[in-house]
Amino acid sequence: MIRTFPLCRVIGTLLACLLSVNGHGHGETPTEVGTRVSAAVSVTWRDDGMLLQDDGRWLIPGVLMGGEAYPVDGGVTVDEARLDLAHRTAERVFGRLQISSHDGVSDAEIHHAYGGLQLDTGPVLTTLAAGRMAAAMTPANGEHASDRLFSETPLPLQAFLGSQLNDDGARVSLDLGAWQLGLESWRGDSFPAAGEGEELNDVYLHYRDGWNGVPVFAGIWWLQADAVNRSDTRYSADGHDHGSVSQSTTLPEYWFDGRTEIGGAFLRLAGGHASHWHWALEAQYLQVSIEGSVRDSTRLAPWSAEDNGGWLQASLGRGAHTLGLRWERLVLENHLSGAAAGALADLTGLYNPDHDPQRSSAVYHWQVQPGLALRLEAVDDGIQMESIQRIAVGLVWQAELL
Amino acid sequence: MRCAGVRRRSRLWTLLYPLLCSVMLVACGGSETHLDDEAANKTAFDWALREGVPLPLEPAANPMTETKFQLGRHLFYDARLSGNGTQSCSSCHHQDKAFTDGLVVSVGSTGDSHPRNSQTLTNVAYNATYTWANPALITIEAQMHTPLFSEQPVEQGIDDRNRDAVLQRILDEPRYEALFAEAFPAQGSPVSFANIIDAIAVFVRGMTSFNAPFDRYQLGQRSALSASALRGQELFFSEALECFHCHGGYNFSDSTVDRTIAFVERPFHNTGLYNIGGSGDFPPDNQGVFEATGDPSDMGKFRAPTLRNIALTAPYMHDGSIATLEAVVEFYAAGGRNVASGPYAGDGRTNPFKDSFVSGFAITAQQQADLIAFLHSLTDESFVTSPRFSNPWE
Repeated sequence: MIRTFPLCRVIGTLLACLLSVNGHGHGETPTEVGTRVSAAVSVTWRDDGMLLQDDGRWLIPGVLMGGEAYPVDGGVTVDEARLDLAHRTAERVFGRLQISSHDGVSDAEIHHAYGGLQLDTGPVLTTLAAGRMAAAMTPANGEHASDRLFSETPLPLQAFLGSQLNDDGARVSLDLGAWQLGLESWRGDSFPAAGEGEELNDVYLHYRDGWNGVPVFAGIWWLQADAVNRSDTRYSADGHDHGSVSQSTTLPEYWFDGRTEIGGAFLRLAGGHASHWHWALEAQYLQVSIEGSVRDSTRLAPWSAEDNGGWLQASLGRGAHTLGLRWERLVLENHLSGAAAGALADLTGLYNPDHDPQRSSAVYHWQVQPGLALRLEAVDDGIQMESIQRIAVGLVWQAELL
Repeated sequence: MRCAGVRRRSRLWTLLYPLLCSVMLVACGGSETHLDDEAANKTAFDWALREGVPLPLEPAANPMTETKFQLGRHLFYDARLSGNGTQSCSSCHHQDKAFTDGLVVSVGSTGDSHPRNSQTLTNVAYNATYTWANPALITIEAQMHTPLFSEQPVEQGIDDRNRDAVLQRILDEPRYEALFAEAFPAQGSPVSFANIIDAIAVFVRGMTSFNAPFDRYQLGQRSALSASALRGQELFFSEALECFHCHGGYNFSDSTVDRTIAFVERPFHNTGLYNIGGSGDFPPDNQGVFEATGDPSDMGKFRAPTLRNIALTAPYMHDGSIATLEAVVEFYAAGGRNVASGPYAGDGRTNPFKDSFVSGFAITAQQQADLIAFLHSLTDESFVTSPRFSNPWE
């Protein structure tokens, strides 16, 4: 008993982290009455980073990058550090405040700051929330390095959501049995809206239940974002910095005006017994349609894109030890027209020389203690034309402080 | 129970099936980029551009042809194309000086001094405006009326009294008969000032220069730039020195237009050369865009010229008032020029119309040498020695 009890907790924690299906996941509404304070840190050493452009920018060929889609660097980096405070009353009023840094960015920011309430409206449980939060259309959007089995953010999220859609806005969700319908409307400051955003809305339908004892979490979603003057501000605070990445070359400035529509679907399955074998499967798919134009200070090119991307992830474990595989791929089809089509395709990184960016990763995850995990990863990075490999060793610390 | 199980399995497949189909779509691959330039990059002329440099604009009324280019080359170097037969375009635009003349200000065919320094003809096809400070002058064809026909100051000095004689001199040159006929095959009597202007404009427009060490470095020849020039390049493109804001892009000028450009900018800058009496004034014969617009805020504003071949085009500034590149760097480091005495006395550093990018900077002697080494790397030796641009009469 003395030995098995902590082991069960370890595995329970692990499954919770991997699947986020138990209602305590990183991006979700507090469900338990009381105050909860938690913290997490993910730190990783990598023998090499991602391939960058000569000017220091990280671009996925064929993608108009932006948001917070940062590459991983070689050496030791703090992938994520966060402090999370959540409170819920018996009257179903809740609030949440989270300060975190992620994707190797050293500055901490308010990641979550929202409040809300739940209303029992007949057979439907209605949840209202407003403030700054991660969009909930897919659980992957709210997860960071300490939540995931792998330390690196999924490639389709990097490409199409700028790593994560996190904005000021409001959410209405309706729960009926295993189903949840959610509507979210955002201020539009975040990628893929951003700039002088006009509109950013999403709708999702989630199904969360068990199937022959196997927890199932599945969903479909759709997002629409309008952007005006959207720039790639990843390497400067104000969008006007020519030298922070590399002093030898100026960073180009360009803007996107137009509409982005993204449809997505996901499925997460998990099974096994806590003290024995356990497994998990995940599939995510995103289909993106973009219509608009890219321009710099003097040139303009109408641009449309039909992209899709997704990933498959599987893991198998016994006790505190888990082995996992992940395969990610993007298929990007861009159409640019006008006299500046070629020049702007090169400048913005939209030119893709018939290459499907992809990445394959393997991980060994050892939950050493309930709050501490060791992670070993091997990555075959085919995001650029030239494929590279890297290995990573990381520690994930998680704690319930209150 | 069995039925319930089937229903559950069926519900799961309802979720699984479209997802698996989608994943198959991703697995199939097929990224591609379709570029449709809508024939914007179509040209019959050999522009001799390097990779990454867009084509310049080509006026529909005066398309580029090799025969016009060759006729224009002969006319450019022909002193008979002046009122008194003493001066050609090349008199103020010497090939070995990147088509400038090395003088503080140019001198016309009758001895008149021009108020301004002769500008390089390097890549003028890309100029958004022509001359030092005329926002309305946007084609070479329009600009050429000034050197040929202007009376104040006289340059080539062609006027109503001598224009027939000038044309007759051209007609009397045997080489021109074939050159004009080939350049303008559809015209019966092609020797006219309109055609002369068109031909010279084609020749000048075809003077492209993109084979400097800087260009070779851009194309991947890492040894093309010295260590000093590379350090200078970093300084040039740094926010500390701000050089690139007005002298950026492939032509090292913010006053650049090409076929890809949709929003044409025609900027002019006051660099703080003068501030007569503290009122922002420039010398009365040389006040920049203000002369064209009458707008006080345009006082002292001039076009930022290309820095390509800049090491060959001394002296510098619109009035040739700075002799060397070293002095130019010191001028910008000081954030302008303080004229201590004389009729133009005044502190240009505090000129109220001065461009905000001319704010001054600290620079060491080594950094100054590095910056100048980079400026020297913009010299295209093939441009200043190419037989294609040389005097055909020699």
